[in-house]
Amino acid sequence: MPLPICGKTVGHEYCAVSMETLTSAPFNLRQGSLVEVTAYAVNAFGSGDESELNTHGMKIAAVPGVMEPPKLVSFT
Amino acid sequence: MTEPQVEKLAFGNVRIRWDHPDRFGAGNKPIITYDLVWDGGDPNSSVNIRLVDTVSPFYILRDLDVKKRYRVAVRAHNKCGYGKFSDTVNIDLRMRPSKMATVRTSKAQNCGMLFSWFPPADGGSPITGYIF
Repeated sequence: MPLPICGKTVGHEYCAVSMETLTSAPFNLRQGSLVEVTAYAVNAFGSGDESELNTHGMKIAAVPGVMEPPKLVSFT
Repeated sequence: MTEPQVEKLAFGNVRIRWDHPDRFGAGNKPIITYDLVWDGGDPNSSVNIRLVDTVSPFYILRDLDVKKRYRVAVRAHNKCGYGKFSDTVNIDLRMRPSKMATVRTSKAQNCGMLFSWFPPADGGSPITGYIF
């Protein structure tokens, strides 16, 4: 699935991606999933071969889930 | 002679081959050698720098600069002398980029993620973008 926000500026070989992008459509990655990325370069003569998928790296993180309500354990 | 044909080999290498002329084209004498010339990759130079004078119907050019354009021509030689040169043929080695190395993922600010990569060899033509 293409990620069009990355790779448009040649010379900046990095791209910041928000978790919201990866956890929403069309990616719909779930918390804890390894983010697998492949890429290829393009020039006037065509497209290069795709890189291998990464086998380790960052996993999807999210905001903490809903906590249990606090309990009142003692009072004076 | 008909112009030589160029076959791309590994990165920066080409095989240049040409057909033996028929008896009439050979001047009714056996061909002794073929004279292959080029411009050395200099667009301002004439195509008259001898690469080889050979009995073979091919020649392999190695370690060419893929960012340059080259021109070659060939002529046949028999006992009566050298014939006219063929039309020149352009050698353009530019190609699509190489395969990229695996993209790395790392932490970014505010719970984000950073993809980073090394640009691959550009095949002699500038990379215009990356597809993820």
